[in-house]
Amino acid sequence: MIIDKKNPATTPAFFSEDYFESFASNHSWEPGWLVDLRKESWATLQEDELVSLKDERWRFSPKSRLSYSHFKSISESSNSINFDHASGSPQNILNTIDNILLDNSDLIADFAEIQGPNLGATQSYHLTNTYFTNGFFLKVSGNQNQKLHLLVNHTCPEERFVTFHKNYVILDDFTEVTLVENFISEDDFSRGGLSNLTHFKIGKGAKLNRILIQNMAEGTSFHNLENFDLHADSLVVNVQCHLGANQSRIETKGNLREPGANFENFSFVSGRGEQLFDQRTEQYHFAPHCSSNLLAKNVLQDEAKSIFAGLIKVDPKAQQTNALQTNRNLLLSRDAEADSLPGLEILANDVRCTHGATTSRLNQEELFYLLSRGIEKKSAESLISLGFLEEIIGKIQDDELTKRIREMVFTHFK
Amino acid sequence: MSTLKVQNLSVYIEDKPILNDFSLEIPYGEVHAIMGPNGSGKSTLSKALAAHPNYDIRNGTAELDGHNLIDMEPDEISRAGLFLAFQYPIEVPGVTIANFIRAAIQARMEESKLFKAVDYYKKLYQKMDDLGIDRKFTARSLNDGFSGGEKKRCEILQMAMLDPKFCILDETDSGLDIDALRVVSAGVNSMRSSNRGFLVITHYQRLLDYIVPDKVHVMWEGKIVRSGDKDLASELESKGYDWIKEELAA
Repeated sequence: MIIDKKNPATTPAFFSEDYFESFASNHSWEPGWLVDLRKESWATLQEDELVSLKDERWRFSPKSRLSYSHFKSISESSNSINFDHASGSPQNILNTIDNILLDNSDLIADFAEIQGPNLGATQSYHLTNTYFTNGFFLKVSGNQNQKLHLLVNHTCPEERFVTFHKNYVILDDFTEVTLVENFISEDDFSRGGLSNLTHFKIGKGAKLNRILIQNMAEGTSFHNLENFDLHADSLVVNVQCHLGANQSRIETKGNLREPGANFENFSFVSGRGEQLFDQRTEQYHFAPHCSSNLLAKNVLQDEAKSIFAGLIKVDPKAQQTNALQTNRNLLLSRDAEADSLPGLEILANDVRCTHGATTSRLNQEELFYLLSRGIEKKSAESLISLGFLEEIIGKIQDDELTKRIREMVFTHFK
Repeated sequence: MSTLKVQNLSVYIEDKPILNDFSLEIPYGEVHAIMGPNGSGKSTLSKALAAHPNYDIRNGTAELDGHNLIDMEPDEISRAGLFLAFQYPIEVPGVTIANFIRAAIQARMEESKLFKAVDYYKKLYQKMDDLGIDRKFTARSLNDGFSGGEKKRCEILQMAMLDPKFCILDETDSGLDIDALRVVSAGVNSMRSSNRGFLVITHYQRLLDYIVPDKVHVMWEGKIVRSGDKDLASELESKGYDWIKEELAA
C-alpha cells in the first residue's frame, strides 16, 4: 500500500491492496492481457517511490497540489464519456473502450504495449493503467467522402471522486479526421478529478486535427497525458485550450518516427484565481526530414501559476530536422507567476532547432489606448489577452468553435 | 454653453515640469488649433487631459461639461465625451478593429440595452467607406502593420463611431500624404457641429487649410503665449517660431 507519508490519514482507499484486489475481481471479464497490464501497473505503482521534489521533471511544480490524496474513491460511471454519435462502420470506429473490449478486443491487442509520454507523472500514468474504467477508441480506416469531424466529451466526476480514462486513437495510412475533445464538469461546484491518458497512432500520410478544450469546474484536478506516434509524412495539428480545473498536469509528447512527419503543437492557458497549470512537452525526433513546431501561450491573472517545460530531442540519425519551440507568458497581476524551462538535446549535426521563452507584463501603452476609448479596465485586459491568445485560437479552422472558445476566455475576466 | 475649460494646469513627467500654469477654454461648436515647436508641451496637454498614468498633474483644473477630468480614470473621461486621436496610435496584436470599436461602444451602453450587430456594421461600413478604408480592415489587428496613413484614418474612424462631445487631434496630419490628409480632414469637418468642440494640435499650417480653425494658439514652454484667428497660423508658417521667441525675449 502506498501511504502519503506526510498525511497517512488522507491516503485514498484505492491505494490499498484490498481495493485493488476487489477492483481486479470485478474486472475479471476483461481479456487476459488487460488483467496483466493492470497487475503490472499496480506492482510498478508499489515499487515507485513517491517522486522527490528534486526531480527535474517536477521542477517549479507544487507537487502536493497534484497528488491523489484529495480523493476518496474512484468513479466508475460509464457516463463520463460520450460522443455526438458512435460509429461502427468498417471505415471508422468510435466507441467506448469497454464496448471495444467486449466486442472487438483484437483491435486493441497492442494497447498494453504502447508507452508514453513518460515526462514525469509516473503515478498518474500507472494509476490510469491500473484503474481506467472508461475511455474511447477511434480508428479511422478508409478514405472519407466528406471530412470526418468527431466530438468526444469527458466529464469530471463529483466531489472527491476521481475517474481514469484511457483512450486510443488510430489513423490508418492516408486518412484524415478532426477530433474535438471537451473536458467538462457535471456542475460548477464539482471538485472531482479526471486523469486521462491517450495514445495516438498516426499512419503514413494521415492527418489529425485535434482540439482539446478543458473547461472543468475550478475546484477540480486534471491530469492529461498524451503520446503521439507519427509515421511517414503524417501531420498532427494539436490545439489545446486550458481554462478550467484548480490544478492541471499536462504532458504532451510527439514522437516523429519516420521521415516527413510533422507535429504542430499549440496550446493556451487562461488562468485566474489560484489555478495551477503544469505543462510538460517533448518533441522527439527519431527520423530524418521531420518537422515539429510548438507554441505555448499563457495568460495569468490573480495568483494563477503556470509552468512550461519543453524539450526538443533529436536522435543522431534524425538529420535535417526542423524543430521550433516557443513559450510566451502574459502576466496580468503582480502575484501571477510563470516559470519556463525550454530545452534542447540535439545529437544530430545537420538540424535547425530554435527555442525561446518570454514572460511579460501587460503593456501599459496598449492598456491606456483601450482605456482612452472608454473600455473598462477588466474588459481592456480581456481584449488584450484574447488578442495575445488569438495566435493559438486562430489555428482552429471552425468558426463556431472559435467563437465558443473566445467567449470562454471572456468569462474568465468577469 | 458647455466648454472644455482648463485652468492653471501644471503637468510633470518624472519631476520635470512640462505644462506650467496652462489655461485654455474652448466652447462647444468651435475648433481651436494649438501650434508650437517640438517640446513645447502640446502632446503632454493631450495625454494629461486623457489621464495617461505617466503624466503627473500637480496643479490646476480641467472640466468638460461639468466633469472634473482631473479626478477621473482614462476610461471614465472617454465615456464622459472626450476623444483623443493619438499622434502614434498603439498596435494591439490580435484585437480586430471591429471588436475594439464594438467594445468601446458597448462600454457606453446601458446594461439593459441590446447591442445590435446589424446596425453596428451598417454604421461601421458607412464610416469606413467615407474615410476610404477597405472593409477588410475590420478583421485586421488594430494598427498592427498599418501604414502611418492607415493608422490615422483608423483613429478618425473610431472618433466617428464613438460620437464624442469633444475631440483632441494630436498631430493627426503627421505621416499623411496629401490625399490622406484630404480624406481625414473631410472626416473631421463632417463631424463639426454646434454641440461638439475640437482641439487640433499640429506643427504645420497645411492641416489648418483643410480644417479651418476658429482660433489659433501658440504654445511655448508649457504655456499659451499668443492667440489669434486662422491668420496667425499663416504668419507662423511664413515667419517660423523664432519670431515668437524674439518677441518673448523682448
